Amino acid sequence: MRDIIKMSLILLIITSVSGMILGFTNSMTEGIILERSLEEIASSLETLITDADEFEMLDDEEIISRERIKEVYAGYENGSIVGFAVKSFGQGYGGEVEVMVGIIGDGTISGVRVMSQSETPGLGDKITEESFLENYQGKITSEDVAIDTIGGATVSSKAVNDAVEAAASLFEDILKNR
Amino acid sequence: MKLTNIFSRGLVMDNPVFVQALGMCPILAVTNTAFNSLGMGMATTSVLLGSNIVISLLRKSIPAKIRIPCFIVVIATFVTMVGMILEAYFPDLNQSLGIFVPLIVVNCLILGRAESFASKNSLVGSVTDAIGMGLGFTGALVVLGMVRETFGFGSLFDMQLFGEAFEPMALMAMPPGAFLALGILMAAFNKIVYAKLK
Repeated sequence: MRDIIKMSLILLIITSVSGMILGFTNSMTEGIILERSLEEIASSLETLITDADEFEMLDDEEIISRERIKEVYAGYENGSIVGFAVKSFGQGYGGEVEVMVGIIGDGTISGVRVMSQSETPGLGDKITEESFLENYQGKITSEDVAIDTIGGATVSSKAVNDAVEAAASLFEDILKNR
Repeated sequence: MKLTNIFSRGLVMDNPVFVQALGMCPILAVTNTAFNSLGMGMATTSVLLGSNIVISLLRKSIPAKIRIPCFIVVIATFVTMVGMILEAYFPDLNQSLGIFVPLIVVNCLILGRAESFASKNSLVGSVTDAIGMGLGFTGALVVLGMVRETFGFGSLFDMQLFGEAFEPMALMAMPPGAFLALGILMAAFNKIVYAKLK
């Protein structure tokens, strides 16, 4: 009995110290990671909606509660909307694949960027390559937006397709009328 | 055992990759380019160094019955720290290593060194062991990555080696290429090392 208590205490001490160290590391790096991801979002927005000079995040219930949608940004030029950037995700092979889809005018996809993914290196992570993503450019949201999958990365490519389709249908259903 | 022996054993005689064949998952998965290999090697080495130091210091206070959970907690802590640091300061490398950074926890090289060396030896010995094994692991990964990148992408550390006419061997960039290249390198390594011993 005494043995068990002693062992539990030692394990407790080790895990508590580990927890404290991790908490400390987290507080050191958290800010930098957040800042970087904000910067990344800002630069994606600028490349996806090139005409816009101002961005606003849309967070009404109607939009955010939709399946596969994470965040939606509207781009304005001189006060009128010129396009939307939709952050959506699909279920990939190694977790969620998050993409940012730019939609301009009355429903033309201006580009797709992969924001985060943990697909298999060398296979699934080919979805981040420009030669794959550029195929979305010019697709019309009222039509089929899916593109051909990459050989050896079918699940990962489908995740991107799912995410882009979710963004397209969001545009068709709600955003178009704004 | 002399420190130089401990060091050279990890680097050559008991090389974690070519001789012990430990940690095969990252070895095969992320060595598609030399840069990824170097990143994975450095990350693993820093975790190994940290865990060897802590486990060597704690070796007298950890009861034998719960040593494995204790080792795993220590290793997981270092891996999580390395993961956070990579995410904050080296986002590109973190992106290309992806899921294999958190998976360093289950790299049997690290638990293996904790169990068979750090838990029985002094701090200085354990540090030497970690550096030797870590460099042996990193070196082997980088060699494998260089071979695979040369054939699979026609480049080395992202610099193009050949002209336009070069047709990359896609196989080498994919998992089967990792097995083939590793097998050939292992054979060559053993041939060279054992030839020296005789």
